[in-house]
Amino acid sequence: MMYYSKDLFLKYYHEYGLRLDGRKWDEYRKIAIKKDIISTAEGSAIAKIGKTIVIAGIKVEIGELFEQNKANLIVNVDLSPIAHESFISGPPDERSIEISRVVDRGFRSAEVLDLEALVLEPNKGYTLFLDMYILDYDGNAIDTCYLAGMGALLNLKIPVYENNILDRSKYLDKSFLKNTVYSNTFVKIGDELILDPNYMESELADASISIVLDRDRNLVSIQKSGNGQLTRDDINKAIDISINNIDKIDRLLIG
Amino acid sequence: MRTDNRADDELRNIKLEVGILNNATGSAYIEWGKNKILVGVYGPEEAPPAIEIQDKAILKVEYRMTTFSSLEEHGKYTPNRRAIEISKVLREALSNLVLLDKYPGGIIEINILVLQAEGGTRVASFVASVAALIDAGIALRDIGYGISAGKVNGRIVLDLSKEEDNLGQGDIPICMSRTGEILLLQLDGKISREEFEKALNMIRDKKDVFVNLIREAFYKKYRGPIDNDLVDII
Repeated sequence: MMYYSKDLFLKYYHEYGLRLDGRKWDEYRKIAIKKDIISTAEGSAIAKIGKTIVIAGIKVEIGELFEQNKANLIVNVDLSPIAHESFISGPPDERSIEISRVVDRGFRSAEVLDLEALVLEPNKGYTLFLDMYILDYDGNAIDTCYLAGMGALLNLKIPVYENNILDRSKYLDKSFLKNTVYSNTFVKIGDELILDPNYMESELADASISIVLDRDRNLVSIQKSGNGQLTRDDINKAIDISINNIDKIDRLLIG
Repeated sequence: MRTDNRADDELRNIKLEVGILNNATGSAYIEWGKNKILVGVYGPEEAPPAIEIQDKAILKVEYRMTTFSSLEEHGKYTPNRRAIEISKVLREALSNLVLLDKYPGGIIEINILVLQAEGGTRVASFVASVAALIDAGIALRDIGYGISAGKVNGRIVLDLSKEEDNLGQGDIPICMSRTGEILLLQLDGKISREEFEKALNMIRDKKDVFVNLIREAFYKKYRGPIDNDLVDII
């Protein structure tokens, strides 16, 4: 493995204005998304940012509602041991739970799905399981999860519920899809803020921030993580870049 | 006549790719009929002292299904009894092929993730695991392959789809080495001794299909024009 350190990163960055992999501070790695890849799921997508790969699938069931007048949405991210040597099987650790919850919050706060319209009876409605599996990990799991999850939601087909069965030959019209979310994750290394950290950069980072926006540019979820500190200026820069990236991410999601 | 018009010994389409994961030491992706399975091998690395064996490596095999991989309801997040049993029989079958004494004190981990299932996932996982082990550069005494035979409408046929499995009278997943030894064998159903013999012979005769499949996958990896990318392949 290549030797790297925070000093090396900063020295190179200050001398050339570039990160060790040649990117500018606000540059994403190559992004790819493919939708509708799993026929056993009601919605699915695979997303790749650099070498990080996430697959997302949605299963639809009918169940008792957890919250009155709202269908159930259950979001989970699995750090599968296939993806990285530091991911181990067993009950989720705090890192895995944090990622799951950060991803869950964006979809929920932005009301990507019209959960009220998916209620069938006062205490009964659709239950949607959106599960993401990290397959290969090179940093920035959160943005890759958002892309895969959003891709799966965009091709979600909800079967009609009739005579107490889910009829998988008839689907609801797509009006349940109300919003889109876009996540941009930055890390701070020394005094430098950079977008879309790879694994090495996240290891060197003092702090990270994920900014999640919806299509109307509302902030729908933010998570600051790590022991380091962020300035007001860092946060403003991160929000500006995130707003600028909405159209680009949207084209990738729809394309 | 089979549900998808295949001949009795005809396999579904199989696509095998190796070297598709970046972090895993070796990896393989198999599409077999509608099965889609990803395997990543890590190691050999030094085993933690608590579980280390002095004179050979430990082989760990974990077979998991994603929660959305089957047509049935949303799956559990933790491995169920079926997945735990499959992990065990796969580990035992693969242990027979891996030259574990070449790696004293080491550990080799095989992570199998079923992304989409349609009958025969354990044998497809076995084939992909063999390919991923080779991709990881781990020494094997021989390559191996597997097929699930079964009895449908009173006939012994190879490679049951989910549909045939559901209406069939028996299911016999078998994994063999290239030299014909039996490494994994399960039987569930009502099969006569003659039918069982026939199934074993039919599977033995398919050896070359898998030798070629694995060979082609490595040709593609090392001679192909572009890197294998899961997003394109899946």
